[in-house]
Amino acid sequence: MNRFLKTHPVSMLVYFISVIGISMVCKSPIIQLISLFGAASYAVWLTKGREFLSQLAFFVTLFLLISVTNPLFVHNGKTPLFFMNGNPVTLEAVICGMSIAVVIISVILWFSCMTRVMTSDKFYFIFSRISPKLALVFSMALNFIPKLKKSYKDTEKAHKTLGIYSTDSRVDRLKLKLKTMSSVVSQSAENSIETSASMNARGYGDKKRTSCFVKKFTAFDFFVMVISLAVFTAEIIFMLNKTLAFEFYPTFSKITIEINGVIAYSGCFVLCFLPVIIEITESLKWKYFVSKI
Amino acid sequence: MKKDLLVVFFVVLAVAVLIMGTEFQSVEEYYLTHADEITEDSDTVYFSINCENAVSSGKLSESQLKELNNGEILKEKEYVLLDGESVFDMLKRVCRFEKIHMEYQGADKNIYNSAYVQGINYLYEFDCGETSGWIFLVNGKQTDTSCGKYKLQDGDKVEWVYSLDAGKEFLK
Repeated sequence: MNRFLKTHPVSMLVYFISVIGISMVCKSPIIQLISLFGAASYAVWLTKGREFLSQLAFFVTLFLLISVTNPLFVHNGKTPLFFMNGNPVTLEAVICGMSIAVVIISVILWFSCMTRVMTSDKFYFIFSRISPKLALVFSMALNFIPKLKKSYKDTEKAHKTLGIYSTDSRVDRLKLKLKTMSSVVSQSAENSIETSASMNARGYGDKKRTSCFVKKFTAFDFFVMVISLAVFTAEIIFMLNKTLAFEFYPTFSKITIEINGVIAYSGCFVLCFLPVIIEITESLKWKYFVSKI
Repeated sequence: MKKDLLVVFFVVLAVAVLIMGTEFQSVEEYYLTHADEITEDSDTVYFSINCENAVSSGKLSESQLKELNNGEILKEKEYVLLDGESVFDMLKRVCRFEKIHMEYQGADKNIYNSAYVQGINYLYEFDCGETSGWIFLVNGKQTDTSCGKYKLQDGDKVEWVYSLDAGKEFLK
């Protein structure tokens, strides 16, 4: 079951823009954590957990790297942990680094979910009426990374059959991998020229070309769109009236639980977990109907 | 395999050199300094740190204002001047002794003595707009050299002040 995949492209785009916008702009650590867990749970749902687990090592290293790097360059903060070459390494800078890392990881996760759900034909459907050239560039850019991955795998296999990787040394193998990578990149640069010529010949980028995408704007799409826009504007208002304001330096501002804050957090929770909630209710419905038959 | 071992060896060596070149101190160790006692024949300097105009500018956040104590970070006080000390050396020593947070940029021990004070007591440059930052006055006047280069003399009065307009409000 994948109900969210069948949402209308426009409301899907609105949803992703608002959720990524909030998680990028908001400084409140609670909102950041909600966004991270929402993105992670949807990524787990989409990939059935397997791919997410293989990415987990990358995310953990990224998290550690950023949270260690920030205190090396920022020495602001009231509670020094120890001094390094006469400069304080402070708790505030460490926690600030962690929050930056959480934001970066959650945005990466949201984008990875987005590329899975918003396929290039949907992008073309939305943008072809506004600017066909932009739509073409968008869909080609989205297609680029998976294509590069596949072509890298193929090239590596070809190299393996040539016996290039038969060396014991890890350093040599790394060097050979870099060589494969450079050949793949130059190949893709070559391909891009051919692709653009061939797409032009097929009439892409022309305003008269229509795209066929059979999709009606249903009540469900309207519901997704209204929720995204409402929560987005509400969070912006809460950010402006300082309910969600948070300062790291010179020391952490206190998080007090007021009625405004609770509304802001629960709104963000609903928005970030919306796809997962939809999927779970749909699959529950499915099971219920199946058992009836 | 030999190549691998060689690479690992060099990586370990580089990390070791990096760690050896870094000085780690605990908080107590860092603040464990004492000022020399003032005797009759010792050279002294009057030292103060002030940011009243930053506090009254209304551009600081509440949490910053809480730390700034109405802008008077260090009241004017007499300190012993060591031989050949510059304004920057003095600031570093006083901040360490009074447990005031201070961050600087640049090397203070190269031939140019090009140290630049970024922030004192959690108040940083640019916190009150593009032209704001810390400057120093000696006997009420700005100098034409950097704080790492200006050598102090007996009886000088050093003020560190926060300027909102690139030091123009302290020109006389």
